[in-house]
Amino acid sequence: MVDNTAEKLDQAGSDTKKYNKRLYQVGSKWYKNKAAADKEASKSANDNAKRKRPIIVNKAADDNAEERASSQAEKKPKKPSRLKKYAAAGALAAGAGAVGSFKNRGFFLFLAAGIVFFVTQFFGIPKWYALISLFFMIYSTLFIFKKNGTFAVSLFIIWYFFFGSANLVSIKFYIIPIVAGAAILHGISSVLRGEESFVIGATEEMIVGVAHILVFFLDVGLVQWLAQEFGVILPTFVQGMLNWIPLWMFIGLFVMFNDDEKKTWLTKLLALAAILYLVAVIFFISPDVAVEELTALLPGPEELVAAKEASQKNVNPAWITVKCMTTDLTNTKVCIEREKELYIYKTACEEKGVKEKTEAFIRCIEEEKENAKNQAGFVEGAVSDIIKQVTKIHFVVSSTRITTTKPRAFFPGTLVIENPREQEIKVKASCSFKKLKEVIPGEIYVRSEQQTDFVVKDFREEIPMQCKPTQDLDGSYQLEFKAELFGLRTPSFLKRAFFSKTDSFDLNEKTEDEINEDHFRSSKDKTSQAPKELARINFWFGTTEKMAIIPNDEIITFNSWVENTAVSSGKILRINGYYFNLLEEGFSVKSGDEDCLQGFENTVSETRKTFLSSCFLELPSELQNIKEGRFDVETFIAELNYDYEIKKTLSVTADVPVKTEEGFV
Amino acid sequence: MKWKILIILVLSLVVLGCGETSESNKDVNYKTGFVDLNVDIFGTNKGYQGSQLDQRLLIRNSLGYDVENVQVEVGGFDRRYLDFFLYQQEFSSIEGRSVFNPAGGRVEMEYNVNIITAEKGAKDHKQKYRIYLGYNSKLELSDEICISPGSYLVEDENGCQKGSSLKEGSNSISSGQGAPLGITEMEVISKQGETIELRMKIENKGDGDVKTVSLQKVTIGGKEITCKFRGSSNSEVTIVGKEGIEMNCQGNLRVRRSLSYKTPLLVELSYKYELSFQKELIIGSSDLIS
Repeated sequence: MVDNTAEKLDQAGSDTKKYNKRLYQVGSKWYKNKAAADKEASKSANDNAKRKRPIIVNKAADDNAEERASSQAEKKPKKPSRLKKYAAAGALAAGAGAVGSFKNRGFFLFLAAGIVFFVTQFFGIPKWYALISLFFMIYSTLFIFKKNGTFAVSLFIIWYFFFGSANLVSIKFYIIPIVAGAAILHGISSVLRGEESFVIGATEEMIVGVAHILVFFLDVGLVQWLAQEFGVILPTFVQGMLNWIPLWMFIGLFVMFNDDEKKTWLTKLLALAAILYLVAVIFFISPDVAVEELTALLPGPEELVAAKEASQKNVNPAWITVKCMTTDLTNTKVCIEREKELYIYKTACEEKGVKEKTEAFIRCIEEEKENAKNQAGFVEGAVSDIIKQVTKIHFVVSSTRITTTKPRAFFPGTLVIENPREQEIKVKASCSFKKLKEVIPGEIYVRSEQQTDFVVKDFREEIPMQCKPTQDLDGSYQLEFKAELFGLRTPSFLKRAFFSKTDSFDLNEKTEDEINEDHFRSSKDKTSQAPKELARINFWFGTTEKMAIIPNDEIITFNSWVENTAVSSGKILRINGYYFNLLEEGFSVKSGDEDCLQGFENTVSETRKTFLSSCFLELPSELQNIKEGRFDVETFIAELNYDYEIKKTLSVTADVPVKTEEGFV
Repeated sequence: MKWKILIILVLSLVVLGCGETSESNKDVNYKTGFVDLNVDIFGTNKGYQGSQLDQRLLIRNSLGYDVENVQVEVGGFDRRYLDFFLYQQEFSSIEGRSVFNPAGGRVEMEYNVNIITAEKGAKDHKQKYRIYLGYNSKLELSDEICISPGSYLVEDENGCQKGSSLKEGSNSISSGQGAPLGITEMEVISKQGETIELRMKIENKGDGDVKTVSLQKVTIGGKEITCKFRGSSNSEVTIVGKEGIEMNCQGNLRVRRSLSYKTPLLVELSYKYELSFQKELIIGSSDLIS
């Protein structure tokens, strides 16, 4: 019965144009002749009743349809307005079209995923977003792809959600057997049911299954997680697309436009809106460049979602474009840039805990603007591709959310120190539990002994530690693991070329061409480079920052900054010393900071970059007397000796049972 | 019958094959084309901190002239990583190609690269340096020039036969004179057989740079005529890049004739030339270095 009704609904929905035309003809006749119009109206009502019948009545009530139709016709006003008729007809057709849209296999996925996306844009991404994505994945395999990929998706869910994380490198050892097993199962099932051959069944399972798993990972934030955890630099375009395009919605859209699928005015309208949104996002994402590598644990769904949420802490290009096009049409480009900057300042202030629409908030925005202005003049540095031995220090926790029934439980965490250059690093570990303004200090136990200070010298060390609160916990707290690292050293490198400038413009140009061809093929070659560690020195000297070729008769400026490159996970405590080998190479300070090339700095800015020194330098005599048409090249080194503090926060809940007379509750 | 045809065919092939005189028996003009010195470098191109790499440089003279005062120099290297021992060397001359030495002369030199630093924790990375090769040499253009007594060039059987010599008007001399630079264009302007003006374009077609070009002499029919470089009062000019330079020569003709005639033209120039080559070394990973 339901199916029959639905078929009729489809008929009504798809025949909208013809139906409207017919109604119009009916309306026209009514105005031409009253008597005839009455008759026509009655006929029209009868027609309407016949057409409406499937919507408002079920088949059981169908027998009385004629009577009701005529009675409806009688009840109708004698002179119904044309507008009302059209409105009624339009509403009927629209309703029929809207309901008929659900017959389209992709429509539900499109609509549901679209709604979820827009809701998360306004209210943020919930921690359990992965479950929504999981639902879409299951729905898609079951109802859209006719159960193709179901085996693979099921096995994947069991593995990923029930058995937990795997190593990223070893993921192929799991995924390949899962997909292969699913393909075999589907193939056998196809043969047994006599539907299709083993090969076709297995292939379909493999393609659909892998595609769904991939979309699931991308949707919950795998790429953003890789970018945040491993510094995988993605093209801005790719990152933008993954941030602002709801993948499941567009899968629904593509299915919706399959030839076999039913299309209504609603599917077409929504598809148009979605395509326009896609174009808007693509159009306003600027292209960029990429690459890097990885090895680590595959994160749990919450971690991925957190990464995606953190990555989306940026302005949606489509939103601001629409906003600027409506508010500042004459200067849209400037407006977009202004809105982007404002968003960054607002986010920074919100993160500081300043309430919006307050004077403090306005002051904060002004301060952020000022900071940005100052930062704009800072020297940019780059990550060196050459240094592969990189010191990496971070906390690893098995879960970012722990619930316990003990008021003084031991909470585990591991400090991982990769120390390939075998530096002697002094570590002071601590922990605390925070709940609003309440702070409960914790005790650190390293390898079963209460210990806070230790020294690391080895190539790689994993220091398992446990944090125990010094007071009973009750409720939810933010557990903060902290490690102060003393005496870290990070080198930086800067290449410069020197040549003797002649009167011949052509000869100078030729020499500069040779230098660029041999030593400065990319803009990165002209900037200071350092391994990707917690902090580094960025420095440049010459006539301007980007001029790596220095004529030997020019006055040269020297500038340096310290950059906290892991600003999201820690801060520089102090700069114990900095050193540039320029003095050693015969350079001398002509004017400016005396301690320009060697010194220390106790005060470190909380911002990402701290200004270090600036001065004018004099070239050594050998560089002043370079032969005409020749050049000298030298890579200069700098070393930063610093103390750094890293943190890792997780949520802990002490759900302690309350003891009553009847026992624990 | 078939056998006869086959024999005739084979004999025809043999006769045709032996009919041409071999190229090697002909006189070879070594002073043609645009050619450079050829340089080959042999030796290990990968080393580690503290290692010394021995390199051998082989220079072959493919020019149609001797080169003199040959200076080889290594430079343009990053002094943090590399240092060179014997990075400058001189050779008084290298013989050019001729009938007596068709392959041209050759010299060898050895130099050593010391890898003085390899950054701790660095992977294999490339370091580049340059080899500069400077020398002095000359070039000669020896041809016949067609002189026409009338106001217009007349091609007759006496002298100005078609394609036989440099004629009045613009002549393209695309084949070069066996050196990296050469006279590529010549305009001959004869004024009723009494005076003559030559306009020449000298271009650098090699990979290096012409430091200076000096005029030695220009003679027509054995008589020297006066020349100067366009835009310069000196007899020595510098050419940078591939733009080229123009030279104008003017002189009176010794004999006035009623018919067109051919007379020998000789242009001699000397020049200083410099080539530079980029060379690459790999500094090996310093994993094992403490």
